[in-house]
Amino acid sequence: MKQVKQPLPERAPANLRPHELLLLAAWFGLAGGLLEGFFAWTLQQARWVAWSRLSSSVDLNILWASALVNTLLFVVLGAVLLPVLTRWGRWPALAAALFGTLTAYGWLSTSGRLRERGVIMLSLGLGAVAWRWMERAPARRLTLMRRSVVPLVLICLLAWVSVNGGERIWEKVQVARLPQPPANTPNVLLIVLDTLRADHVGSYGYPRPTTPNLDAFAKQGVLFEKTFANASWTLPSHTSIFTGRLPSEHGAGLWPYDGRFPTLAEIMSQHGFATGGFVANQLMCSAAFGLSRGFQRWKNLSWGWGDIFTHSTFGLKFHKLYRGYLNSYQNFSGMSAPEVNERFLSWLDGRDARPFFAFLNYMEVHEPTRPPREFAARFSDDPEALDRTAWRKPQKYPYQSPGFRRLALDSYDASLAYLDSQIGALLEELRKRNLDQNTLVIITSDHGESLGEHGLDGHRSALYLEQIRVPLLLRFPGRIPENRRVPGVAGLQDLASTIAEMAGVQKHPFPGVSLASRWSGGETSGDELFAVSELDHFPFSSLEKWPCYHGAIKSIISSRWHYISHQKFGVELFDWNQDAQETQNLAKTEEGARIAAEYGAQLQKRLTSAQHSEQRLVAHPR
Amino acid sequence: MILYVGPDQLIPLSGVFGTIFGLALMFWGKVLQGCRKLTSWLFSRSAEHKSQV
Repeated sequence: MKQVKQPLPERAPANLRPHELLLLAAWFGLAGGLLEGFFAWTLQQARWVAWSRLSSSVDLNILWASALVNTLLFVVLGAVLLPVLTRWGRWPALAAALFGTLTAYGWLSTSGRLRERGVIMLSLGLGAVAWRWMERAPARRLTLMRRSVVPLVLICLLAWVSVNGGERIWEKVQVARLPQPPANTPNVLLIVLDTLRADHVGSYGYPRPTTPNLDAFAKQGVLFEKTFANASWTLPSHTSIFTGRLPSEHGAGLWPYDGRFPTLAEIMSQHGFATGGFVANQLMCSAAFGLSRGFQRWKNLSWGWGDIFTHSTFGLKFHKLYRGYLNSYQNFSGMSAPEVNERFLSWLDGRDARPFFAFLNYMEVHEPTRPPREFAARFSDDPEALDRTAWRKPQKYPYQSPGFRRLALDSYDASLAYLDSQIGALLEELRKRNLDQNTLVIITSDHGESLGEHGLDGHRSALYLEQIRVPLLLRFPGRIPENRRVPGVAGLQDLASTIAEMAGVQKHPFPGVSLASRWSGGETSGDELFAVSELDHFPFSSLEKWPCYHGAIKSIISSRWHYISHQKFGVELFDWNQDAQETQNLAKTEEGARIAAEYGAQLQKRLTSAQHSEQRLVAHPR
Repeated sequence: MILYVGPDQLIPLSGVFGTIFGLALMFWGKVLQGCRKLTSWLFSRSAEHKSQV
């Protein structure tokens, strides 16, 4: 028998009050946001997220953060629409459809891998389901929401407490399991100033007063004059520092680091060190990219309002729209240098007496640079213009114009001066805690930055000198001589074995040669010193103007020659001592061709040797 | 390998699938009605064929 369809009520029951629209909005925000946070974390753990989503990586705090952002957004939207929506008798169904659609959109956008059109249509479909669900019994549904909204708030609070408390408990458990290191084991502090190029540091000959604190630090220890990163961007370079391997060996680059080789933090932890990472770079230096392995405490996000907003799905969408609309690079999230210092010192003061290995990463000279006004005024005649440069590309200064170049340079130097002041403050805090005498402090950078050279800006585009030459300063009173400059070439992949040896780790798996022999006056086995750098092929349309878009690049550099091999464009050879800007390609000259052939063979030999290397234990007698 | 259908094959089609499922959910009543009509038409044809045999 055919069922007679009951007509739907034209008006909501009289006992429904319009302000319950806000309750409905909050309910969808809380329930939907909790699930959205769960999806975000789970998909990230499963590596089933788009690259763009992975670079806004999250930890378990996303559970309550997503709920908070969604609730605030939905309640505000509900308050704005309240006078309009509630005039219609079927407003509960309409509101359920609206917030149901938004909630579903948040869920489906979490991975970043589904096509936008499909996400929108499916979200509308799920919104229609929410409409029909609410339409059948609006009073009962709202009663359910009224009763469950408080438990949902409590769940969010519980998530906040348990995630943060759980991290502390987990860390204490890990530390309790550590073996006791020998007495007099020193501490190790590895500081990476992200995107700092060596030739903008005073001790490396830069004429502007950008780094008085780093210069003073250099006089207290050793400075390596020719140090080169193994890649011109964060992820493979940091992985090389942590594993002692070249990028083609460790594989981190287009893919997160998969842990195939032990990291410095893992080895130090196995030898009884308390390990902590305090990292401002959320983009490519995060737990999601495998760099937190071995750290008992890893802080990448401060979870202040900026992080909360920009790491939820809706916050991320708004952030992208805002930046696209204003054509700006404003970045709301990420720890500032004072925050990195504060978190590190707080961890330092709360730990027990065992030695520590700490890794600090600062982003002040990474684009978009925005120096404080006081520092901007020291390096620019127009400090206000530096603010405009950071937030937008004004019509007055087209991107490649000399005017913009000047502003970009001033902004970089002013930001460096500010960062230098923060490093000075950090070193002073170490001194106050009597930790400066028994701590090996290493200050370096993961890569440099093009500031218009070769028509390039930024990094990760090529392997020219400005993108791979980095500072390297070490200080350890009593173990490292003061005011020593080492002229030979060094690569950052040698840092792991250097740190392990200096920290007294008897057996470690890091290849590469400890740099300690260099400042003692000794040299290595008689081979000329080289550093190898590599850059993946990045065939992404947004990078079309960059060399790496067209093919992979590899380079080998000695004290005089820099050989660069591009997969498509062939070979470049520069005498970088004479031609620091690397504008005269000598590969086509007779002598240059001969040298290029030698260096090509040398590069191939080193890459082949690296790929066939096995993990080995190297004993270093103290 | 030709017959393999995994996430990497399906994700590019997510726009199409999402649109189809979204429209189906939006017009669920009509979809169900259409499915019932189709089913009853198919069954009636089948019964007619059997009676002719």
